[in-house]
Amino acid sequence: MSTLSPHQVAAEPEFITEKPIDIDKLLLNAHHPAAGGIVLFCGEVRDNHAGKAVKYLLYESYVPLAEKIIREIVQTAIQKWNLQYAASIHRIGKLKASSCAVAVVTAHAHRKEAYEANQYIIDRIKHEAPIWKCEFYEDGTHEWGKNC
Amino acid sequence: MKLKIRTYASVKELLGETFEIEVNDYCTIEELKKKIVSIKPESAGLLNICRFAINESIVNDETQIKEDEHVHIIPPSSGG
Repeated sequence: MSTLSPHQVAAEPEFITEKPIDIDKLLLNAHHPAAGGIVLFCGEVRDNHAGKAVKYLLYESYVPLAEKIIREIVQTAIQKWNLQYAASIHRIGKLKASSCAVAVVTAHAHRKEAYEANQYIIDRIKHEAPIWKCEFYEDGTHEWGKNC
Repeated sequence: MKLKIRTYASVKELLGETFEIEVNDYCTIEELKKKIVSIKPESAGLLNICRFAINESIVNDETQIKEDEHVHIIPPSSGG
């Protein structure tokens, strides 16, 4: 994967997974000889929300559409910032605190663009991809996320 | 015609994960929303902030639904 040409995503990228996200692999894939900066963002599960103790989160998705939307977002970012590499993967299913729920990696010749593109990707994924989290609290109640 | 509807997250808790609904031929998304609200008035607020999808594409209120198409009701995203 480290030999990818500029403006490409991995041949068979995985955008949604039920398995733990392999951060090492994601970062390894982003290495590119023309990239001077790689930014890795991990969205992690917090153990509290609005003063309530969170037992776990349950993520669900309309997977085919989420994959389509995330693919478009990543490809748009690659073109917009002229990235050497970009990828993102979102986990679904039951996650406990400190688990990585979503990861975004961007590689560019310079760090400024790598940071900007990374934020662009995660912001759009959170707003547009059909993925939802339900917080299950220690007190036995649960609540679907209203929005991001 | 009878439509098959798939829901997610908060909409699933309100309307059920899947259901069928009888609508007029050439029904639009807007008309489908009104029909659901007429059956389940408490869904009005939530449906107004939902997106709708057919064949893995987001559609607008004016989109006409064909008989065999499955309609997905998509509440505001809360991933991340």
